[in-house]
Amino acid sequence: VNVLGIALKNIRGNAVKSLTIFLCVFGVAAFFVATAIIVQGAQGSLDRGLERLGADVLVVPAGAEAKMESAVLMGAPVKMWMPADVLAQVSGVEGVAQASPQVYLQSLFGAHCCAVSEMFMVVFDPETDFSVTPWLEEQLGRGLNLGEVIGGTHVFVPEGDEYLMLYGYNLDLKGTLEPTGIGIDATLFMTRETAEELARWSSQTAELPLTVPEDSISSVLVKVGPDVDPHEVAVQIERDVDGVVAIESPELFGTFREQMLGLLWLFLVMLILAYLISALLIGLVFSMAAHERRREMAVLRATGATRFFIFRTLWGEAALLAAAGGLAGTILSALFIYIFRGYISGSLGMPFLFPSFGSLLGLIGLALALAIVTATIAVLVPAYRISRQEPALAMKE
Amino acid sequence: MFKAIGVLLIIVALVLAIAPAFTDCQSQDKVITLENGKTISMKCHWAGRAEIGVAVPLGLVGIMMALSRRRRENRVNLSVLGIALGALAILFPTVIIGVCMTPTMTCVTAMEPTLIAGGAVAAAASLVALVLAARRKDTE
Repeated sequence: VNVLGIALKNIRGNAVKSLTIFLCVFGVAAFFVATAIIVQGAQGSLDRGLERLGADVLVVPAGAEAKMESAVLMGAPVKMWMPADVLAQVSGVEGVAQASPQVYLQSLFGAHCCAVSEMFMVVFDPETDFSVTPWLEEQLGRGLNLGEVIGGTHVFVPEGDEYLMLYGYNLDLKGTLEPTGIGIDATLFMTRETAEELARWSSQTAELPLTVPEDSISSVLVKVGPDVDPHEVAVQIERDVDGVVAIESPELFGTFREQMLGLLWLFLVMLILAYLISALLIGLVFSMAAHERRREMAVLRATGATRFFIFRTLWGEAALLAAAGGLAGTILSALFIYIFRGYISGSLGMPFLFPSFGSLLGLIGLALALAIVTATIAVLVPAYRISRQEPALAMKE
Repeated sequence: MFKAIGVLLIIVALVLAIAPAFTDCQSQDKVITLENGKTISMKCHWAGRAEIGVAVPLGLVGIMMALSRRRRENRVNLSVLGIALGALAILFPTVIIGVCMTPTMTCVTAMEPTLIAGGAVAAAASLVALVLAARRKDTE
């Protein structure tokens, strides 16, 4: 007779009690993992997006901060313009190491000429760009030629086609960037040369021509020098250049981060409530079970079992059920989130990148530990009581 | 246990048959418009239709499993059929027909995952039934 054997027999012997505890732990573990994956996925997505952007400061026309945020976050096409000479003014600010202009365009909505509808298009300057060009150098070993583009992970050439048609012009998709979970995934990147060619063709081939203003840009990406505080540079840019706002990249998704923090608190309160209710229920169920089995335990004590053995038997039963419920809850929850990640991200309106396998394993381990600790705390009082009872009195009842 | 698995298979069959009607692109008024103005359904719609062909036999397997007498051979055969139908439910939207390519479309975010989850539940439940049936003797 060993602790594990008795625990397993008890689990099989009282199916209702075992199922109740299993489901309690399953629910708490599943909720914990789901919450953690969603929050971590959103955070990871924002971090990856900022990393892809590669800029310390973004300079946009005054009043266009929210537009910029929604363009980068959700890939929603935006129109915002400022004079092209802003680039020279920004480059001249002390502390600015690199400055590169970008022009934001969009494809037509539902037009026959186009393979895709309402796509956010970013025009970059290959001479100064430090956002997309390093990736191109690494993947292609060269820059983009005329008519060549790269896109986010959601950009694709339609099945059966060889090129991506925009404004009636065939673009050669040379590659797709790694997923970020934010709007960059649905964005198309091209050089100014290609954008101008597209605009020239569009007057003859598209339902509406594309216009690329010669003397305007949409934003300037800024990289500050080593040991320079981006905040000071941002303040200096706003002071020196009229009609622009300088956004430090960590503050780019400020509004969204605040919303996410609110959601996180809501999840946390719900998790704590679910945890407390489950712990109470497990304790109650075990108290009832222990009360029913006090004669059985008394017999064990009478045959030489120590108090610690009795305690371990009950704890083993709870720990086994907690481990099984926790494992099933975490794995099924992670699978559910993985399969429905697109739907969840769309419904919550937040970017999402599924966490790496390593961090997922860490989360599952944490949830399992939480489940076992919960069961241990819940079973502590009934297990202690039953192990302290007098065998003779219990058998007499 | 077999009754519970039978009921579960019937529920999954209903989900497989009904879910595409509300989650494919056609249900969101998205169709392909040809140059001559005619409209045709996207391929996710046909994947959804094919699921009806899986859902009907799966529902029958569920009914038979719930009502079947305790003959080991019957239950083993029904379980194997359940596993095959579950696998087919997954293969139609992923490999055999597929869904639309744009990752943000409803058929990709909702229909395909629902069908994959439904197929996986059907296959897993049938696998459990197969193991249980294989271990038990005829009790008729």
